[in-house]
Amino acid sequence: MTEPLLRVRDLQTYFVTEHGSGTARAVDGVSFEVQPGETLGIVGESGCGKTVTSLSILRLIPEPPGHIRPGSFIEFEGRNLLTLEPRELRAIRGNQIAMIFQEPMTSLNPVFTVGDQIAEAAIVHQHLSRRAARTRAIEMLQLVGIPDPEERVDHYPHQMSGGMRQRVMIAMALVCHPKLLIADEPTTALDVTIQAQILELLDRLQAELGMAVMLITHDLGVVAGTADRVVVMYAGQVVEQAPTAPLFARPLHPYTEGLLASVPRLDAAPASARGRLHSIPGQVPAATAWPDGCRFHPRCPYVWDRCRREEPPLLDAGGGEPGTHTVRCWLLTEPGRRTPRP
Amino acid sequence: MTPPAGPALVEVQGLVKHFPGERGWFGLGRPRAVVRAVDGVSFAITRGQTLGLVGESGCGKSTTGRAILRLIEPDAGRVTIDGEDVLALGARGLRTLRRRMQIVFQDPYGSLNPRMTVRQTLAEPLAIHRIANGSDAERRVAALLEEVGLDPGFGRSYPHELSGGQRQRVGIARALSVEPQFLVLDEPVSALDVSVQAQVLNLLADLQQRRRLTYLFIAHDLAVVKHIADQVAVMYLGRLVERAPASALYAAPRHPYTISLLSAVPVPDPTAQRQRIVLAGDVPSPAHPPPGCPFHPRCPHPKKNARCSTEPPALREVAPGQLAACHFAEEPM
Amino acid sequence: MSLWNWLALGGAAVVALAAVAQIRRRVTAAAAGRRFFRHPTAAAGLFVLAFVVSLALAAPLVAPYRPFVQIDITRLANHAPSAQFVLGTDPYARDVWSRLVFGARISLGIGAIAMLVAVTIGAGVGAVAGYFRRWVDMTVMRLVDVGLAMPRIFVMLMAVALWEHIALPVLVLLIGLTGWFGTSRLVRAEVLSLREREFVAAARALGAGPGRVIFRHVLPNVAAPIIVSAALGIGNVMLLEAGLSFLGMGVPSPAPSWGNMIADGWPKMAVAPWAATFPGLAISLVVMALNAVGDALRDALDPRKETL
Repeated sequence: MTEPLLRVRDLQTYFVTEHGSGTARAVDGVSFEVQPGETLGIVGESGCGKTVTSLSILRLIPEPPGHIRPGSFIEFEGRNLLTLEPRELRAIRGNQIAMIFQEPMTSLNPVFTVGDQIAEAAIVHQHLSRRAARTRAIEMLQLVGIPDPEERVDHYPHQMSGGMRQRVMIAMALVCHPKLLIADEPTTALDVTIQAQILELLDRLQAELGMAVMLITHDLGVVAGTADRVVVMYAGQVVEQAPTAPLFARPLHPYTEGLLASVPRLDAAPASARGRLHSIPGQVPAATAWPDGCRFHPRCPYVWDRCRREEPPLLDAGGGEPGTHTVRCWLLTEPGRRTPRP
Repeated sequence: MTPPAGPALVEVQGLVKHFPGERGWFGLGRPRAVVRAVDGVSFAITRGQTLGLVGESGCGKSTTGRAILRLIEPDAGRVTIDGEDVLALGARGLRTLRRRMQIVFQDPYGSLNPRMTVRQTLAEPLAIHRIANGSDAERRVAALLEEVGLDPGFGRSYPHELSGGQRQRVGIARALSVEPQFLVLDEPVSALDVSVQAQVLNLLADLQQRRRLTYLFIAHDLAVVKHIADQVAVMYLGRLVERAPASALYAAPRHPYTISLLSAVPVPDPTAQRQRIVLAGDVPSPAHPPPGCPFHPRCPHPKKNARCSTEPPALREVAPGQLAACHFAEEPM
Repeated sequence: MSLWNWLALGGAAVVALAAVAQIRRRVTAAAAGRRFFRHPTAAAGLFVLAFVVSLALAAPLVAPYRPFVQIDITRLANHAPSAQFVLGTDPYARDVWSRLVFGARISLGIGAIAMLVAVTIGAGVGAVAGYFRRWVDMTVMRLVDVGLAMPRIFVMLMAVALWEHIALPVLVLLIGLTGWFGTSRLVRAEVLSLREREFVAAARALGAGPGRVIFRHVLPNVAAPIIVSAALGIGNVMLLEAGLSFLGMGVPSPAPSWGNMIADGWPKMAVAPWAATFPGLAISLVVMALNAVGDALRDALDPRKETL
C-alpha cells in the first residue's frame, strides 16, 4: 500500500452557537485517507458534516464561531496541514490542493473576467508573467472543453451558462495541476444533461492529470458512477467506509442500507417502481444534541439495548485487507440481530 | 401499467405563455426578444391519476403549472377542470375555483410566511373561503396536521423552528385545507434530503389514495417521477417533446431528448453498464429558440438532417398511446 | 427647584433604567434582540429616550414652575443657573428647566405623531405601488419623485406663511404630509422583492385578495425597514421643527418647544448662553439617541443576519 496522499485522523470541528444553544459538533472524530490518483466519494445528507470536513482540510473554517479542535490531524504528503504557517498553507491552497464549490455563480467574482480569475492562480503560485498566465488560461479553457477559448477568456461570468461557469471553476482549480481536487457538490446545482458533461469532464481530467479527487455529494448515483471508494457520513461521523462495488452490493450500516433503499431508482423494475418507498423514520438530529450511544439508534430498525448506551467504534467488516471495509455498528459483533425487515 | 381509465379531470389544450423581453428607453422603446416560456402545451389528466411533467431548467414546466392555476395569466389556450373552463372565469368564479385546484411549492423555506404560526397558516384558507372558524377551525387544523404526519402541537411553531421536511408537510396540509380535487406539485421534494424525500413521496401517495386526488407532478428528477407518475410528459424549450404512459416511456423512449435525458441520470449501481449519451452544448435560452425542431442543435440522432432545422415536428402518435415530436421517432437511435 | 422636584427627577431616572432593563430581559431571548444590545450605544440611546419620555410625562412633578410663567421680568430675566433656577432663566424670565421639560412633551410629541403620519402614508403608498406595479407604480412613483424633489423646509415655510395662524395639529399634519416620500420608496423596494416570494404566491393560490395579501403577508415582513425608518424619522422631524421654530414659523409662543426656546434665547446668546444652549443640547442628545437606536435596530432586524 502506497503512502496516502491525504490522511485525516480524528478530525473534530466544533462551532460555538450563541446564547446557550450549546456547541455544534459538526465534525466529531472523522478519519479517512485518500490515495494518490483515486476518487474518494463522501456521501451524506445535509447536516452530516461533509462540507465542514472539506473546508477543515484547507482550514477555510471561520475561526470564530468554528474551530478545529486539538487532537485533529490532517496530513498531506507527510506534512501536517494544521500546524503550517499561513504562508506555507497559502502555498498549498490552489496549488497542490484545489477546491471547487457548488454554486459557480457565487464562487466566481463577477467583476473580473474569466481569464483573469484563472490566471490568478498561475500568477500567484507559479510566478508567471501576465502574458504567460493568459496563455495558460486559454490552454485551461481548452482543456475543460469550452469552445472558442481565445474569445471566452475575456468574458465575464454572467455571460456564461451554469455549466460553463462550472467548467471555468474547474479550470481555475486545475491550473497548477494540483495533486488533490476537492469537489463539494459540483453538479448539484446543474441540470442532469449538464451534470453528465461535467462528470465526464472530471473523469477525463483525472485520467489525464493523474490527480486524486475527493467528491462530496448527497447523490448516490453520482458516487456509484465515479468513485473508487466511498465514505458515508452521518451526524458528524464516518459510519461506513468501503470500495464502491461492495458498498452498494452489500451495505452493512443500517443508515447506508436505508439510504440506498429509499432512493427512487431509474433502474427499478416497473412492478416495484410504484408502491411505497422505504423511508428512514425520523430526521437528522441537530449538531448541538447528538443522541447518546450510537447516533443513528433513534432511527435504526435493528436497535437494541447496547446501541442506546454505547457508541460503536469503526469496526472492520473483513472482505480483504484490514481497514478496507469498516462500519460503525454493533451489528458486526452480533450479526444474528440483523433480522430481515417485514 | 393500465392505460388511463375513466374521464379526464383536467384538460389543457394549446397553453401559451410568452413573457415580453426587457424594453429599453424607460419602457417606451421597442420590445426585445420575447421569452416563449410555454409554447403550446396540451395534455389531459385522468381523475385520480398523476401526470409527471419533466424537463430541465428553463423548459417551462413551472410556468405551465402556475398558468393552469392562473397564478400566471396564460396568453392563449384552454384549461378545463371537470368540464369547467378555467380561463373564462371572472374574479369571483376564480376564487371559488381555488377550492378545487391547489399548489404545493418547491421551496419549503420560502413558501411559508415567516411571521405566521403553522396554525395561522392553515387557518387562513379556512377563513378566506369561510369554511370554518373558531373552534371548528381549530379542530380542522389539528386534523390536517395529523393527516400529514405532524403532531398537532406544531401548530404553535413558526416556520424557522421546523425542518425542511416538516415545512413541506405544512405546505401540503395548507393545500389540502380547502379540500381540492387537483393538486399541482411544483418540484415538491427537490429541496429535501433523500431520506425525507421518501417520507414525503409516501405521504403524497397515501393522500392521493385516501382523498382520490389528481396530481400534476412537476420535477426534473426522472427517477422520482418514475416512482409516482402514471403518465409522463417531457418538456423542452416550452414545448412537449414526448408524452406517454410511464411504463412505455421508461421502457422504450422515443424522442432523442428523452433518450439522452434518461441515459444521463446517474444510477446508484456501480456495476450498471450504461451507454451514456452526453449531449453537447448548453440548454438554449427560451428567448432565442432554434428554428425548426428546438432540440436539433444538440440532437444526437443519426438520421438528423436539414428538415430538422427548418420544419418543427408535430407531436404525433409514434406507438400506441405514445406521442413524440420528432421526424425520426420511429427510427432507433 | 424644590426637594420634591429633585426626587421626581431621580424617580424618572430610575423608571427609565428599569424600563431599559425590562426591555433587555424580554428582548434578548431572540437573536435579533441580542444583536441589538451588542451595540454599546444602543442601551445608552434607549436609556436617554426612556429618561426624556419619563421626564416629559412627569413634567408637572419635575418642573418647579409652569412653563408660561414669567417670574419677575424686571429682575430675573437672563439669570444665571442657580439653586432656584437650575438651568437659569431666559430673556422673558421664565425658568429654562421647566420650559425644557414641558417643551419635551411638545417636541417629542410632534416628532412621534408626524412620524406616525409619514410612515403610515409612506408604507401604504409604497406597498400599493410595489404590489400592483405597472401603471399604478409608475404614476405613484412619479408623484413621489416630485415630493422628494421639493425642499421640505421651504414648503413648510410657504404653508406657514400663507396660513394666518397655524394651529399646532395642522402643523404636525403638514410635517407628516411632507415627509413620507422616502419611506414609500423604501417600502416599495421591499415589497417588489417580497411579492416574488413563494408564500405570497401561495396566498394568492389559496384565493386571498390583494388586500389580504398586502396587509397580512407582505407588510408584516416589511416591518424591519419601516421600523428603522421610523426611528430615524423622529429625529428628522424634531430637527425640522426646531428649524421652523427658530425661524419663527413653528410652535407659537408662549408654548415651549425646544426649537422656539432656542429662538427666544438666541438674541441674548452672548450674555445668557444657557437659555439657547440647553434646549440645543437636548435636541442633539435626543437625535443622537434616536440615531443610535435606529442603527442598532437596522442591524438587529437585518434578515441576512439570521443564522439557521
